[in-house]
Amino acid sequence: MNSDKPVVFIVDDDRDVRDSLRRLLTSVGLAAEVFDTAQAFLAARRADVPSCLVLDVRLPGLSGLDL
Amino acid sequence: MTTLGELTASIAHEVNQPLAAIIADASACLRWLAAERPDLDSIREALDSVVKDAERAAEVIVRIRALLSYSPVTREPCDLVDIVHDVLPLAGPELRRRGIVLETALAPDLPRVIGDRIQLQQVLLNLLVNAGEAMRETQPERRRVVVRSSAECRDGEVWAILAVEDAGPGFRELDEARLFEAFYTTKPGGLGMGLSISRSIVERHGGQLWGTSNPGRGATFHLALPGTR
Repeated sequence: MNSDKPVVFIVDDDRDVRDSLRRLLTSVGLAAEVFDTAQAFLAARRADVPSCLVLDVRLPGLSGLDL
Repeated sequence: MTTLGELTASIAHEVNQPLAAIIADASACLRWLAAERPDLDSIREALDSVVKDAERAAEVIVRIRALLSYSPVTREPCDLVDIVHDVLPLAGPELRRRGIVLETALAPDLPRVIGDRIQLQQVLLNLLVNAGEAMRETQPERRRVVVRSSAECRDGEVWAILAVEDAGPGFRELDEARLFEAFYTTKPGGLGMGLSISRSIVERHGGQLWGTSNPGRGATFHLALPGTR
């Protein structure tokens, strides 16, 4: 993220839920990034730390609690 | 019944997910509409999604009503592969939430069977819920359920067979004969009714329901019904 906008990361295996959350956050002026698994989130780990993480607990593979 | 309790939780989740998505999208639309120059593309995208999610929730309700309806027992030609396709959308999400990989190996040329489609769906659903429950202590990477269908010739008659294979602890140490006894259960909080009811349904259809231990790990439950020509 190269702006100063707070970034919210969303990790949820339900596509409808994660896309609707992304739109809701976008509508209030936040930047959101979505991941379908905990592994995908970890693989995309970058230098910037999310301001907030919305995490589904029951994920396939690595669970939200494991993450 | 535990199975029903588990299903209720699963159903509630299946309906709540699209409802949560609808609320989020509708809220986003309201915010966009309040802007001086509303972002119509975003609003359209969100509303498309609202329609899709509402349909998804409605579809869950339709399936549940079909599954739990107390209509009289019917006897009609049924295709076991169709029954698998009826039940997987119901059981699949719960299995996936348990981190279980669900696989199917369905033979295309199964003979049709005569029976009550709803009751046969209930039997398969029960076997899938059991398979999921059986793997609660299984290492995450081994959690796997396979649903297979096959045709088998018995005394000149063709039978249709469905098998549900799990990777749980199996029942080597259990008294196999007791699995189908009413009120015999290995699940914490279980009533021990699922398999006994399932077996009585299958036997009323002139079929058989039995369990075997897998060579490696886990158990397989087999549902066999006489085919019709």
